[in-house]
Amino acid sequence: MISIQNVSKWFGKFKAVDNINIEVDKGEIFGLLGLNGAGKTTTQRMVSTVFQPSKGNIIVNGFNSKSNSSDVRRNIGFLPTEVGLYDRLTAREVIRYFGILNDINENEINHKIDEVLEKLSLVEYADRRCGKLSRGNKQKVAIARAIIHEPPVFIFDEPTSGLDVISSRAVLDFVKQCKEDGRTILYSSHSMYETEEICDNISIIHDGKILMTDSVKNIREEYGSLEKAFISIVKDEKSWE
Amino acid sequence: MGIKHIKAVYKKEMQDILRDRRTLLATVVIPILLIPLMTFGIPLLFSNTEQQIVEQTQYIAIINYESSEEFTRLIDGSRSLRVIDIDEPIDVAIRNGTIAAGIAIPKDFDDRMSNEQIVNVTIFYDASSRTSNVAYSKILQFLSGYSRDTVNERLLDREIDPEILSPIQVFASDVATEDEVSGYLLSLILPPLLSIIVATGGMNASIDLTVGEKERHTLEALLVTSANRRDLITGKFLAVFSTTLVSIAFIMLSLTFSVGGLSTLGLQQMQIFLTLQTSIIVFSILSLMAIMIASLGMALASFAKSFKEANNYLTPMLFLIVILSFGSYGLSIEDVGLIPFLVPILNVTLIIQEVLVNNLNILHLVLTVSSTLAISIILIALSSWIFHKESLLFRA
Repeated sequence: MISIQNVSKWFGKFKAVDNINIEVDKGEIFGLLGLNGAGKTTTQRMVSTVFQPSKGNIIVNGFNSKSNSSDVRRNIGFLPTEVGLYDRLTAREVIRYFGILNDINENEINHKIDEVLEKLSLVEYADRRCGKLSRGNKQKVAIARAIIHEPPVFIFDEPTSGLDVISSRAVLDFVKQCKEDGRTILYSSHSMYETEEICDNISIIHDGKILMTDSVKNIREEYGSLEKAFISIVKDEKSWE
Repeated sequence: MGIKHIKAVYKKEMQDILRDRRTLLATVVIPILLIPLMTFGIPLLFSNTEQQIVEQTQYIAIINYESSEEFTRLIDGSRSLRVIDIDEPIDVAIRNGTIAAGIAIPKDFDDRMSNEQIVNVTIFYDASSRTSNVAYSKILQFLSGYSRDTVNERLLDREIDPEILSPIQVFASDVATEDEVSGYLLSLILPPLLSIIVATGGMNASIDLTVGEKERHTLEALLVTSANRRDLITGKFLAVFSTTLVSIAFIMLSLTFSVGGLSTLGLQQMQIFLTLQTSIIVFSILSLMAIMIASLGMALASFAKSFKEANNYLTPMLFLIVILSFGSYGLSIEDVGLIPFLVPILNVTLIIQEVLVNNLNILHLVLTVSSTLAISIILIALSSWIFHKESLLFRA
């Protein structure tokens, strides 16, 4: 479903991502685990076509991110790290806006908005301006905005960052539900516990390089926990301090 | 899907703008308040101040006044001039405001006059003071009259008709009333003012719609939708343009009511021509400028990383707009030449000035429209290019 092939990304002389390879199958939750600045966000931005790879190819649901970027975008829902909403618009207006930009027909959009509001327990906040919502509800609106067009692939960049325990749990449960619905998810986080809980396979990324890719099950068996595996692998790197 | 996406972006941006108090203030409230203030204020201020100074009595001093009691008596009280004694040097007295002007006459004034010798009179005044200038004019008028009367007396004594000295009599008749002079001033002040209001309104909206997306962290989510970047920038551009059009519409309404109001106040002689036709031309030319300003604002704001950085770019740009707008002050529309009509903003200001004084030159209009459109197209292409260039859109 997602194939990242020998991809590198430079920003001027700085190499943010260094020749990485990742394969994510349909219905899988794949975790990108790394410290801040490791290259997780840049990788996800390349998959979502915000950035173009400097080298290599990214294929999403059969479409190349360079030559078929609009088809790739049609197949993904992207939740960036920062919850950016339009404070003067209501939750419903924001979701509708992104629905139309993602080619949902006018005659089915209201139904889809109601569905997604219901799914994310946002019904009572639907007509409230985004600037007045709590951090947790803002995150839910951001998720609704990303999935309104029901794409087969979701890209979640640290979706629980800055959320309280209850809101984080709601997001994690939602991600699990997405997997059950057959979605493919590229999930980044620096939280070992949530990655361990929801991901099928992970890559540990550090300084733009992938240090290890394996299933969560295998890592647990070999290291005891994801945290132990992460520390053990990353601390051997020169830049670990 | 392009049109549908452009429509969605446009609708959302307009919704957002209409709920933003800052943009509404710059777009609607300021034009509504500022135009009547300028339209009524300037002529009233101008005519009142000028008239008051002329009607007021100015105090003057005469050095060696004792040499001619008659001269002193004649000038004292004539043309609202009053002769007073001073204890300080004449230049100091003028600078201090004790007197508005001074005259130095020779100690043998009366003797020289009786002997029909030339009498040198020096007038002291402060050219930087309006009151002193008025006093200077009054003294000149008095001396001219005094000199003429003296010559007439001398000629009559010789039994010569004084008219022999004036084979040609010149009558200068200023057809402009004070209101008309004020009207001319308005035609100078209003065009740059209109340009500046349009520019400010457009700039505010363009910042909010472009760099605002970055600062609110909504840009990434927007770029990942199925809409392509050209559609996004087009929708945003149309929203900025519409906002500026609304601003211009309010300016024109406000201007129409203000000029109408001047008539009811008895200032109907104003040389401002604001018919439906001229209103349409002014609206159109300002709209054209709005396209250019919107594209300029969007290009600069798209490049900026934050509101603060955008303001850093746009503030000097506003200064430049102000300078170009008021550049028309140094030019006379009768003999300005063609080059100024190729200079953005300045050309719009000059065209509005031509329209307001009912002296529109079609070649000037064509040059202005062509150059403004050409610059707008370049700037729109630049904004679109920045929106497609990830290294510029996401500058670290």
